[in-house]
Formats: sequence, C-alpha cells, structure tokens
Amino acid sequence: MSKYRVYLIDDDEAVRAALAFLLGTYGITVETFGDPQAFLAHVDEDKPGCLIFDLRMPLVSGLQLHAKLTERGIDWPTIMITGHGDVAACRRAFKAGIQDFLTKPVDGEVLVEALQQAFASFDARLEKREARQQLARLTEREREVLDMVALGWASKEIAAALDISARTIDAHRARIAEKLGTSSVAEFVRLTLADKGSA
Amino acid sequence: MKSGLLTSWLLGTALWLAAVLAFALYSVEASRQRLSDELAVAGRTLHRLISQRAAQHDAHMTSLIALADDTEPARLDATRQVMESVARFYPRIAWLALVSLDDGSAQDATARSDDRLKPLIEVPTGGGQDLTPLRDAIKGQQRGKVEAYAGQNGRYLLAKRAQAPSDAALVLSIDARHLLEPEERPRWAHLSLTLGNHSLVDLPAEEAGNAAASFVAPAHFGSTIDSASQRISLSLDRAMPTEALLPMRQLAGFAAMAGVAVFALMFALRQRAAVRKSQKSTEEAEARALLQERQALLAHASRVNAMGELASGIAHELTQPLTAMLSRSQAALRLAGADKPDIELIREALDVNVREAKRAGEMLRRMRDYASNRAPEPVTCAINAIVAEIAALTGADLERRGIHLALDLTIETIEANVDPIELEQVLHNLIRNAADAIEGGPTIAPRIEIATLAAGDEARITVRDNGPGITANAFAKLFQPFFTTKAEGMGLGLSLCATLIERVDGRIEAENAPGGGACFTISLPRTLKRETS
Repeated sequence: MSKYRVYLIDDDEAVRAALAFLLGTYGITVETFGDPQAFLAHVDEDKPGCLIFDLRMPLVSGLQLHAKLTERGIDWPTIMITGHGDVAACRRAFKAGIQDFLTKPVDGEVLVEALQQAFASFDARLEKREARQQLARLTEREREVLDMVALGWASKEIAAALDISARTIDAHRARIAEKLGTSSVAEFVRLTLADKGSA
Repeated sequence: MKSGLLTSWLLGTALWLAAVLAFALYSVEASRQRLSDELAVAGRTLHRLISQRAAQHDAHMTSLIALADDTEPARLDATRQVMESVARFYPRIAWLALVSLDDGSAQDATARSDDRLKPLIEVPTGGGQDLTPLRDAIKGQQRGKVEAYAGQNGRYLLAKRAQAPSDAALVLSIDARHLLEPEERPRWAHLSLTLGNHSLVDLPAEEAGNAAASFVAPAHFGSTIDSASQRISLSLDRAMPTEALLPMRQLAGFAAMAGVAVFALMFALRQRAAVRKSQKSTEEAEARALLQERQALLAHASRVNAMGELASGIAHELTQPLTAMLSRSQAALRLAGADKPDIELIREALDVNVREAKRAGEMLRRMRDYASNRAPEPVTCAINAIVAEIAALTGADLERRGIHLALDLTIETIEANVDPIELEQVLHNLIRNAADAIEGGPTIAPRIEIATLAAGDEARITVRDNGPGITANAFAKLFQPFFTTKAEGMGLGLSLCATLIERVDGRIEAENAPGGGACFTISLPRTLKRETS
C-alpha cells in the first residue's frame, strides 16, 4: 500500500512486535529497532520513511533522537507514542516538529490514519523538493517567464511586460519545456505552486 | 534453675522436719496432759469409792455394836446372824469378831481359860488373827469411836467398844485388797494403799510399758480417804512411756501427711511461680505483638507512600503490555475479517496476547502484594526472586529518572527466612535513597547495582550506587529514627529497614564503596536446604 518505509523504535519488544504485526495487516512494511542507538547506526538518508518512536526510552529519549536526526538533516515525518502523555511533553514534541503525538495504548486505526497523514505530507514535501530541483535549472529570465505563464498570461502580454519580442518569449518557453520535461501549462502551474507552498 | 530447685527442696525438707517436730512436741504435751488427767479422774473415783466403803464399815460397826451391847445368848445369836450376812455381802470384810475385854469376871469360862483374848463370836470361825496383843489398845479406846489397826496379809482391823457398861468390843478385819473391785482399778497405774506406815496394797501397773525409756516424769495422784476412822492413804502413780506419749503410728501418719502437704505446697508455690512467669512472658509477648503491629502499620504506610512514587513507572509497565495487546487484537480482528482468514496467524496473535495479559497481571500482582496490609510472616524465600521483584517494581521509575539498575545475582540458590514483602520494602528504601542521592549530585552514568552472594551461612544482598556517598558525620546516626539528610524526608526509612532486618535475625551495614558511592549490605541467616533427604 505504501511506497514509504516505517521505522519503529521502542524499547519494549512486545510492543514492537505487536505494532509491526498490526501495521503489516495494512500492508505497511515496518522496520523495528530496540533502542535509538541501533536506529541511528542503521539509518540511511537515501531510504526515507516515517518514524514512530516512544517518547521515553532508556539512555536516549525520543526527543533527543529527533534532535540528532535533525542534526543529520533527516526531517522525516515523525509520530511520537508515549505511555504518559503530559501536556508539557506534548508541547515540546510539537515545537520540535513532531507530526503527531499519540498515547499508549494506541488505537490501530488512529495510528494508521496518522501514518497516512504523515505519508501525505511526505509526498507533498518530496514534490516540493522535486519542483525546486527542476525550477533551479531555469535561468532568472526563464523563471520570470514561467511564473507569468503559470499566471495564465499570453506570450504577447509577457513580451509587452518584459519589453522583449514575442519570439524571444517563445524561445524561452521552448527552453523551459525542455528543462522541465513538459510543455503543459497545468504542470507549470503545479510546479510553481509546489515551490511556493509551505508544505 | 537447677540450684533453685535444690534450694526449694532443702527448704521443703526443713519445713517438713519442723512440722514433724512441732507435732511430736504437741503430741507429747497433749498425751502427758491426757494421761495425767486420766490419772486424776481415776484417783478421784477410787478416792470416792474407798471413802464410801470406809463409811459403810463405820455404819456396820455402829449397827453391830448396838446389837452386841448385850451378851445374852439370844442376842449373841442374832448378832452372829447379822455378822454372817454382812460377811456374805461384803467379801472385803474378811472377818468379824465380838470380843469381851473384861478379864476379871468372865461370864464365859472358856473365854478366860487362858490369857488369850478370844472372840465371843467370830465369822468366819478362825478367819481372823489373834487379838491379844491389841487388847490394851482396844481397851484404851474411847467408847463409840472406831479405831484402825494394822493387820496381817494386807488387812487392817477396825475396833469399836460397846457402850458402857458392856465390855464388849467389835472387831472387823478388812481385806484392803478387796476395797476395790478388780475392774475398778486402773491397770495402767501403780496403786498403793497405806495405813499409817503399814502397807496394805501395793499393786504395780500391769500395762505400764517401758517406763525406764521415758523422758517424762511419772504422774502421781495421792490423797487420804475421807474417813475419821480409816486414814488410808491412796496413791496412784502412772509411768509416762514414750510410746504412749508419742504414738509412732500417729507420728508416722502425720509425717506422711505433712510430707504430702509440704510437697503439695512446694508444688503449688512452684506452680504459682510458673504461672506468674508465664503471665509475665504473656504480657511481654503481648507488648511485643503490639510493637510489631505498630511497626507493621508503619511499614505498610511507608509502602503505600512509596507506591505513589512508583505509580508513574508502574503505569508505564502496564501500558506496554496493554499497547501490545490492543495492537495485536486489532490486527487479529483485521485478519479475521479477510476473505480467507489466516487462522494460524490469528491463533498465534491470541497466544501472544494471553502472554502479555499475564505479564500485566503479574505486574498488578506485584503491586497488590507490595501495597497489601497483611501481617508479616517470615517464610523461606529465594533471595534472588525477591531482588528480581523489587527490580521489576522500581525499574521503570529508575529508568525514567535516567538511572540504570543493574542486577548481579549469584547462581547459587540462597534462601533465608524472611517476609518477602518486608525484604522488598527494605531493598526499595535502599534503592530510593540511592536514587535520591544520585539525583542530588552531579553523577555521570548514574547506576545502582544490586548484588547477591552466599557468604558461608549467610545470604548477603548489597545495594550500591555511584552517587556522592555517605558523609562521615552521618554514619553514626544513619539507622536512628528521624535522622535524615533529605529536605522532605521523615528519617524513618533506614530505621525501619534496620528494625525489619533485625527482626529476622539479620543485620544491615553501611559503608562507602571504594570506587565512590554508598554501599549497604544486608546479611541474613541462610536457610540451608537439607543435604540428604
């Protein structure tokens, strides 16, 4: 079902096994780790996934793990589960950029829903990154032209606004279509929106 | 104990001897009194009897002399008849004679045939003695008055002259031995009757016993018969034989009874002492029980309090199995709802759930046991199991506080006679103190280690931390009540620990570990399993 991995880190073996089993029935592949160090040793930036971990674990807490991952530039969506959800811990978690905060015992459907939201945000984030990477290939002038195209302006209007010939605009558009791999105005719109979007 | 027994037996014997001696003295005195009284009573009776009989003699003399004042043959004959009847009725009057004292003009020629004083009448004939030697004495008697004379063979004579002008005189020979009937005479006394210096009767006692062996002077009764004519002295003597004074059977009986009584008394006294002792020990036991009850109350209160501190950790411990169970149950439900349910997988999930439920139940059991208010009862316990229990109860809390709890348990089976909950409580107190000490100072990699080991016939548990350790001036007061180094401490924790451990004959010691940090050692008498069975 999911193109993403799920990394589950919990010091309790029974909890790990049960959650992996449950998520398995939803077709979600779960990799489990008994402690944060094991996960940190294993984590690969090229294999992104959603993180589920307990707020309270021996030696390294959930928030410490999150901070370490952030240091390494890993900002994958994270769901925190905890046995004692006090407001202060919840607040700290959200401030640190945690996606969701669930209390144990966690309901399966709630967890799956949270995961799906995480996956969705992951999708959006990847899309934005992709859009940026594609848009980055454009020159400044090309980007100017693209923005105007995305706003629905005709080539003549753009030429008038930029005080250059319509032929030059067309040449820009051809290069843009070549660089972005599409000549569809709709795609242009999606890319510029993705770039500007907050997600 | 043994010398006490000896003392009491000596005392008992002395008491018994004193009682027997007192009884003997009393018995001698009472018997002497009784025998003397008997003698006096018998003496007075004899005195009365003899006096009566002496008076009878006087009366007979009076009546017979009145008859005999005339010496007519007819009168003499009548006199003889009276005399004969008197002699017949009174055997003690052995002889009666009527004599004429006139020696000049004797009417009876035969009477004057020689110079002898011959009776005119005598009953029985020839039953008396020759009165010639007494003629002058009788002649010299006042008329009408009876005089007594010593006789022969225990007899005495009574003589009375007739009224003037008769020269007759009546003589009675009395057999003193018959003054008393044989049955009237007390057999146990020496009886003697004397008239002047003349001994009439001298009868030794017949049942005197061994008078020579007596240590008490014989009793004596003496009196003179109430008679103007017969001044007979009556004397009764009674020996006081030991066997009469001190009847051996009575004495033996009393000794036996006194022995039994003394024995009973000693027994009763010992019994009473024992009862008093047992009463005292009962009171002590009650006081101990009360103290123990209060300690149990304090211990329970402190456990309940500690349970509150552990609550968050325990909640975590319960949350984990619940989380696993909920997730697995939901997964199993999803599997069951599929087109082709994988029954094997569902069964497996349920199996694991059962295990998890038991794990949660075990934690609850642990909590319930720990907070329970049952009376402490030492039983043989495996020390390692108790350490594992308290580690399970406190582990989550320590983890939350970032303290690593390490167990180093001996592989040997060590058992001791303790109340498991109380030992858990002692360990919990030590663990809590260690954790508080660690949190109060800058400890790197905080750690508490509980180790068990067998040291000869002792089971040892050490609780060691890597905190700041115990300050030198705290050592002395460490186990005293109300001594604390904590801002909010009551100072009862270690004192309670010491009480609980000492109650099961163990001891608890504190020291600073060589590598830093405090180390508490609990030593308990080890319960050794029987080598052979």
